[in-house]
Amino acid sequence: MTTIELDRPAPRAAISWTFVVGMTLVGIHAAIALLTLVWTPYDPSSTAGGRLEAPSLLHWAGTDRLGRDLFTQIMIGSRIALQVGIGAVGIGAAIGVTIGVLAAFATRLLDDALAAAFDILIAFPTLLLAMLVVAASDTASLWSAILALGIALSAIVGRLTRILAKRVLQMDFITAARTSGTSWPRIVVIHVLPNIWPTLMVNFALQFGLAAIAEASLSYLGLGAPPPNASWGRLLQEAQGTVYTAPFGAIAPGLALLVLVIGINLFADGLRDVGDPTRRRSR
Amino acid sequence: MSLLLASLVLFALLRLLPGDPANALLGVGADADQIAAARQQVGSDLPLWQQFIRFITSLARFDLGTSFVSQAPVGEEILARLTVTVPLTLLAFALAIILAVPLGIIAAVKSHKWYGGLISVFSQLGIAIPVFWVGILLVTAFAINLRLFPSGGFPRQGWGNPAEALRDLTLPVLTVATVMASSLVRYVRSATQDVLGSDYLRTARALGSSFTEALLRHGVRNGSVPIISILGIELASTFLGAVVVERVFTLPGLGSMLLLGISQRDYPNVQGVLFVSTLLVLFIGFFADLAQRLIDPRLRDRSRGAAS
Amino acid sequence: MSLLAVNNLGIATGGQDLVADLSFAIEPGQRLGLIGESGSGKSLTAMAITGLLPPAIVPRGSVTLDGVEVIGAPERKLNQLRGAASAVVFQEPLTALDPLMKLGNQLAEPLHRRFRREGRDLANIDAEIIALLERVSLPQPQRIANAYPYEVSGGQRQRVAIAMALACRPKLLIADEPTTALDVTTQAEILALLDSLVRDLGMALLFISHDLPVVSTIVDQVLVLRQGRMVETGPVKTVLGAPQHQYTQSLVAAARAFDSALGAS
Repeated sequence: MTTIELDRPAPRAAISWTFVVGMTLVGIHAAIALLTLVWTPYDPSSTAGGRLEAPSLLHWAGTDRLGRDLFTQIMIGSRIALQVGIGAVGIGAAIGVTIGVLAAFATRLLDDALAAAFDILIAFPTLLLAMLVVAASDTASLWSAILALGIALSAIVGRLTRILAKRVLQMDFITAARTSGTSWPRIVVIHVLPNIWPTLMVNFALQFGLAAIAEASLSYLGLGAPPPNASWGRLLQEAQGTVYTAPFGAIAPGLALLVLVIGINLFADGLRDVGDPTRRRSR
Repeated sequence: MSLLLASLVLFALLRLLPGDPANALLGVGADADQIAAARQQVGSDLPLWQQFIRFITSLARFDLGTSFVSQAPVGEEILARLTVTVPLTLLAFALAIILAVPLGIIAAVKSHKWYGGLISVFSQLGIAIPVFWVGILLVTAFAINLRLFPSGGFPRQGWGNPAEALRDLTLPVLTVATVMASSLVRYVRSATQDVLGSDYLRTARALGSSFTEALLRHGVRNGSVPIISILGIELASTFLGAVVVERVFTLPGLGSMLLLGISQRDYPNVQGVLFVSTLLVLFIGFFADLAQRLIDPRLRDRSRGAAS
Repeated sequence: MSLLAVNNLGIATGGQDLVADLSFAIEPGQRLGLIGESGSGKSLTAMAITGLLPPAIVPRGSVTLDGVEVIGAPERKLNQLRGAASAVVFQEPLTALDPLMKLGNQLAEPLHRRFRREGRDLANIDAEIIALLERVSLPQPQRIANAYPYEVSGGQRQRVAIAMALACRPKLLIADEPTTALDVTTQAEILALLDSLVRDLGMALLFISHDLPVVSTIVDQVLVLRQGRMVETGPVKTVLGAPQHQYTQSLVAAARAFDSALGAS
């Protein structure tokens, strides 16, 4: 825009507050998730508490209908959510980036076909695709949920990668590299990937949040990790059944999920500001 | 063309489902002859490409087959369930637009005021919340504490009892609209920001147009082009995402049919729901495209150029 | 009384001065060129004169346009002033025009306001649109009126933008780098057009540019701006013929060197 010329020095790439807050929120979840590997307040399968107890000093988030400590379950939920997020984004990134880069380099016909397939796949919500993939695996497990979400996310990643890679391939320095005889694989590694990486990283962070929500939804629908994996979605589904007598159970797992997703989104926001030198702060 | 490709993707997804669909017809303990007969009936003994041809030709005749489980025609079942899902989606969509457009514009125009910032914060919260949790919270607040609306269900006679049906849809619609509106607010806000920073708005004001007049005459049209494509995507994904909200409120809609079909391995039902959903998604995309072309002459020109 | 009087104008954002201690005046019919490199605050000054600075950028001092104090004036008062007292032609005609509206309709907007202001019959607007398009030497005015901005050339778009400014019948025309986005031939045509229009209609002109040769062809007075402060001002011939300040000297020298390089090749 030509509106106003402000010839000030560009603000240094300071770490923004969103980055710090996001890191902190995600960090808390990560710390809790690691902690559950060695210690939880109660044995997760112990039904020693009273049934459907309201939150108290003994049971910070109350107990479920079998008398299990909800706070313990929510802590384990952190671990599951992070596992699913990392796993699904990892799988989605591996498949998506590979196919996306291939499409960008492929012949016109193959590229068009892949682009059309991406477009159609992303018209379906991640959750719906994941549902179908879960249904395709014989037994529902944590890994089938991760795989399903990973495959569902790969279409989004693939589409973005293809667009970004094509944009890079049109630039002059690629032509320069080609005329100087650089091989295609080398061009991908030294030119394409480094250039699209910052944008992809931000996208991965956002996908992580999506995956966490989608996993909770899958579990809520009964298609996620089976018990004793205490996914927040399943906790909420169980809490809904007892919401007349014990409404508190429907609050805490949702809050935990909310905090994680907001943390991730803020983190992604911060990452965008730090990682992309061409993005200036808007007025 | 895209429909053909979509059905190919659909077909591939369905074949990914494990187990032989014939098994679903029989249950456990069937002998080999029975299985062979069932296979023939379902067509799963044919080579894949023949199965695909059969799949395509029956779809082209809008013959969606009969359910393995209930033996009812899939098409009729889908039509019945659309009378729940379509009103739910459209009402939520309308409510979301009514909420999100003014809020998004206020958030952009009054971004320096406290309430402008507050709207932005709330829309951030909204996109981080899963639909079903919003549903559960609304049930807790309105169905259990205030006893204003039922916590779920739908009248047996459907729209034969319109007052009851609307009452039952109120909380589901609110649930979907809340989530949809918060993501829409962000798009409306950023489209408005683009308009506010635009040179043409500045020109209009430099020549004596008031801010409101310039925004109405130039901003609405320019801002609506990106919003329309977002609206199309949101509408389609809400329609397809109805499975969750229908589960929360135990509504007999298309989503719950899909969920049931998946758990019962009822192929024709799953396939039919996915096919109708795909059709609707393509349909919505087509209309969003059309609407954008009506507004933006450059898009009209480009497509004309491509056609010739 | 001056048509435009700028007194001790300062423009700041976030505690940082973008323009400071700027004073000048334009009499009716007079032409002033505002010269400076990008970032010198010339466009900001133009925006401050019309009261169109973004909310985060705050002016101080005094700007009197056609007898009205602009700084601190309520929006309603500014709306009456803009168009009637001043009109602006911007640098980039592609973005300065609404991409989704036919050029004729865009031209009708300021015309409509002026006709209402002057109590004229609104039925004559269509004829006036064509007359204005002819006035800015556009061929086939009927076709141009029915076209969208992307369907005509850059030079034609800028002529339409000028016609829109003329439609206001302003006492002061502000041209903010109106030729920068155009190729050299078109530049010359637009300059000639502006020159004749300002003369024929008796408007005052504030011409903003970073381009010395362009400015010197169209104005009688210049003001050189550097980093938000006035460096030198006076008649064109004096300032550009015998620049006093070192900065102006370097600008003039650079322009000469460029010209001779062009002449040599």
